Amino acid sequence: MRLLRPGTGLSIGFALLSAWFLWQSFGLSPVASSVPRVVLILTLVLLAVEALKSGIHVSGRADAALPDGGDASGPVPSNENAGPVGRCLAWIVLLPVALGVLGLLIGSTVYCLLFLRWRSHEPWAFSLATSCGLGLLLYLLYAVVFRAAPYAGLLGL
Amino acid sequence: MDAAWEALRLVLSWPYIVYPIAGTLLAMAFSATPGLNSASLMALAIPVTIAWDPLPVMLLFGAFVGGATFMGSITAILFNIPGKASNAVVLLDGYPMTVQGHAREAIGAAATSSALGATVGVLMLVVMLPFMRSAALALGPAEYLMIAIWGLTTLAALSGGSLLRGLVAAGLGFQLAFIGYDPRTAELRFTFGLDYLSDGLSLVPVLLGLFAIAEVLDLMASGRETLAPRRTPDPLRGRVGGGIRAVFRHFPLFLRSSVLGTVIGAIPGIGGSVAGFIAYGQASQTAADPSEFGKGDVRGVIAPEAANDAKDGGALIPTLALGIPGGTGTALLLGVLTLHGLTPGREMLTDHLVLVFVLIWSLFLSNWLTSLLGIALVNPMARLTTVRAGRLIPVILVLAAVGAVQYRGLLADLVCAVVFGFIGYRMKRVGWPRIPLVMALVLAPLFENSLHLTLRLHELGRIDFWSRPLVIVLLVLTATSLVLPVMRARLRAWRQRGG
Repeated sequence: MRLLRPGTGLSIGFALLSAWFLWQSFGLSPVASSVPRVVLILTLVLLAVEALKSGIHVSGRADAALPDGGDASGPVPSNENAGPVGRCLAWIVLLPVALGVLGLLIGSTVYCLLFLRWRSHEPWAFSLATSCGLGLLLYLLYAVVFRAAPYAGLLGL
Repeated sequence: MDAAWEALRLVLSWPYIVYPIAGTLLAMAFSATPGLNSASLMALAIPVTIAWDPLPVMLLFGAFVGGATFMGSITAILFNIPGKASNAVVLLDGYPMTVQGHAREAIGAAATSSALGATVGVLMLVVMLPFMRSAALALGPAEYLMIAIWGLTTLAALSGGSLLRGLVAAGLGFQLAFIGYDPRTAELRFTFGLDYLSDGLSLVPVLLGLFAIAEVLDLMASGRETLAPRRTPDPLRGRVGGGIRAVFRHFPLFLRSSVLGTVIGAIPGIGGSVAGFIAYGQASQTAADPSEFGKGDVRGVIAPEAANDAKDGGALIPTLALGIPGGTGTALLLGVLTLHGLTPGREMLTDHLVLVFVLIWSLFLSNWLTSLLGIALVNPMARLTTVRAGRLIPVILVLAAVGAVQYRGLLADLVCAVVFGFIGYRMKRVGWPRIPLVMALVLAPLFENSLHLTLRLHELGRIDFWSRPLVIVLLVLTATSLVLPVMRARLRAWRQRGG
């Protein structure tokens, strides 16, 4: 049971961003602020209309994937593989951390191994082979073929 | 005509035929590699080719221009991940086709549209070259402003049935485009005090976040086993031939989109991304039955793909005739021409006409080669959509991350992609369209700069907005694209009522 319409958080986020930008625009010269101000006011008005049209408070409906690239006609979800969004997001946030510390080549390899083994529960052999293969491919592409220096990370690897 | 045949003979002769083939394969590899694109390939090739004769250089660089466009559409169709902004619009109908098990048909249609669109672009390039000088002088900020406004009228078509949300998303795209230095006053706008944002938001991490990372997050959170459905015995039941036939079934639409793409590509500074958006909008707004657009309609793949590839030929018109590059790729090409002592303009079009045609044939050949290779690779690539999501996700994530980090060597770009990944995921889950945001992000700088310039020139009495014929033509087109869908809808409703 939820009290807020799905997407209310997103609408509030957009409205706050627009309001903050609008506030900031008053510190700019007329040339730099005229077009942004018109767009920001229009966006805020449209957000208000959208909120009124959809109704802020609804109940008893969970988030539903809506068509934007075909979700409506997509495959039936099998919930055994599903995870809470927070945990899924944590796995994604781990990626910049791994690349930032270990660099592009080592970071990508380690991240891929961790993901395959502990998120996808693949066997060790498959996880190791895939992650090392990916790391090797990236090394060959960037360092050998295209000679584009891969991002080194904090440890300079 | 003699110059064209002489150039074709040279292109097809040994060993020169190797250059466009090698150039196409390199361009395909670069455009498929995250963080690299055809512009970086050109930049790398300049020092290598500096001592070469102009002929192989023209062959190689023509292939670089033509070989990169189509690859981004394949990933957009299969994985909802556009290679670059111009491919973003293809996913609107391409990805739903994949989800419905028609990936082969979508790629077949895209490849055919791409090759034939490039052919139309090249033909128009040859026909328009002699008239380009006077046409270019007729273009000013007022026309650019009208093109931006025309592009914005396609919002209704790109909003997936929710115009209000589409407009809000476009408003957000505009806001994001305002971040960074104001080009007229050099004031910093909306940077949150971050140095990273002073040059504005880069399109690459935004695209990777909104589509690639958002898609992965959705795949993880929903627990879907694969990208393609597994409900049917053959999840890839569509056929490439069906896609090829669809292009010929909708030939007038294809032709209109190709001409539109060439004309937009020929206008310097507009950028190729706009061509696909406007072509999609036109296709949807002029269709007798637009209800299937956005749900997997093959017309939504044909129109933007034709425009995207036709624009390459168009972009060469101002580059060769006037020395004005249309984008990064043509700017680098212009540099290469200058390095080899070739001055664009009258001299290039008279004394070096054979070389001009060599470049054109190479572009033509590379576009066809890319499409043929795309069709040849369609089966193994489409099979990827049936691989278990748990195995595919880390590879997609790593490739997206590599694309973001290697683009400018900044980890902050990856952080930006992750932030937009979450925003894109939420937008997808609650039914907010993402394409209008990308379109506004692309069009906003053109709109703002042209508006300021037009107003300033009007104040100074240097232009009369209403006396410019191209402005009037664009105004009519804008009004038509706004009014036509409404009239069609009313006509349909009237017919359904039995009138």
